Amino acid sequence: MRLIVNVIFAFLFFLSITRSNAQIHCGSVELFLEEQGNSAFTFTDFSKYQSGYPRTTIARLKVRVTDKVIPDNLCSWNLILTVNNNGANSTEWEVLNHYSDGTGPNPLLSILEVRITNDCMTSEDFSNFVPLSDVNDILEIIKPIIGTLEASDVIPSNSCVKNVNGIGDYISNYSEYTFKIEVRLKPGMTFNPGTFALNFNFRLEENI
Amino acid sequence: MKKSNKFKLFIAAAGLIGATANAQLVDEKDVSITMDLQPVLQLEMTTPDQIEFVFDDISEYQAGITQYAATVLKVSSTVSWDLYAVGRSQGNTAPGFWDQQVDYGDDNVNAVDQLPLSLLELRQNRQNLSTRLDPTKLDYSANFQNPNTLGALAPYAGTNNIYVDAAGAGTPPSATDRYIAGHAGDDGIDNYMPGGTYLNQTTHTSDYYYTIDYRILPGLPAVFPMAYDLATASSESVNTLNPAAYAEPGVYTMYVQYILLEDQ
Repeated sequence: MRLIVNVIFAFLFFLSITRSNAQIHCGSVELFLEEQGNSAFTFTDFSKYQSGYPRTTIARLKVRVTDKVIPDNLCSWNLILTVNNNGANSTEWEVLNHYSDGTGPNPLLSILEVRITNDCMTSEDFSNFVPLSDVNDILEIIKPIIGTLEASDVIPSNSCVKNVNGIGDYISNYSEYTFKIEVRLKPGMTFNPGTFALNFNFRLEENI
Repeated sequence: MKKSNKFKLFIAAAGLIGATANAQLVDEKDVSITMDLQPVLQLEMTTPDQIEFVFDDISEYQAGITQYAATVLKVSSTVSWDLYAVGRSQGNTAPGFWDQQVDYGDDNVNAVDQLPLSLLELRQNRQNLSTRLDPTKLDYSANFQNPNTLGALAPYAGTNNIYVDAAGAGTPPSATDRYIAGHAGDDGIDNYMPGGTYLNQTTHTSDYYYTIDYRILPGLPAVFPMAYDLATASSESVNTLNPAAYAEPGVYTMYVQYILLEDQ
């Protein structure tokens, strides 16, 4: 009996030690996504293949981050984008179907460029269109804090500078907490014809 | 259970509960993007409705008539492609021969009305990329041969004769036949033209833009000495079987079909 109790104790103690590393600083983080228009791009004639789809807004992201009841001056957040192609070659689109024998190359991720902006251009890396390259890349829209979180790492809302990550929301701080997701797609004429897909995963996390 | 153990368990459980509630806050959303690349193959052709060769002068019989750049071909394609020409007729004299529309009344037994389709010669202004990469792959880029030097050609081998699909089966030219662009088979860059368009042309020539010259050379007598069957590697001139034979005067027609085909 004593042995069992000790094992249980050891297990619970281990859990309590490991799980207690996640320090909470925020009361809540919420991400709202509004799809805008159509995110299905069809190429049926040469002008489309040549010119592509310029600057198409596919979604708007709205962020709301609240502090705890007892305010914590370390409450801050980051926003990242990952791309999923359902296990296809990491630099290519997922193939849904080919229209021919598919002996040519499949479309590369790099034909898709992404720009993620708000009025204050708070994203450091995505204020201009950036081509995708590999699904293993993590695209940091608002950068995570690396290392120990300090109060100086928190960039408060209403400052309208890069990487604003303090508490706030898309209602009170629309210019910093509402992101427009734009894509530009230009396939060229060297890829297999067919239907292809990608999935964008936006992840809002509090910094710890 | 001892009190001390119960206390330890309580502390650990309380710590676990407290720590679990402290899990990092996360929210996620997804957007899916689909792209539909529909294949587009476009062949734009500028050519007269009818290209006429009227032989009413001895010099025209001897030198032939060449219609320079009578046809302009412009290709735009989003997929790999091949381009070839096929000589066709209704076969009202026989399959693989010109259609005779009018007979001018020469009933000489040596006057034959079966003129082989291969007597029509084509010349493309730019060498096929497949031929540039592999000279064994044939195209129509050779200069028309001078009939006055035919005697020196031993044996004569046609260099510009149009591909003929006598059976009308729609069979593309084989690996030993001529293509304007691309070639038979789909393995290797020397067998196809990659997708692209003449609209991207940045120099004075393009692999997506061709002009086609036509020549017919009847010769004297009118036996069409340039006619040649590449498949059997033999001359198809009218007098091949009967040395006394010659072409019956009249009006003959055939048509040329240009086919742009996805390479697969």
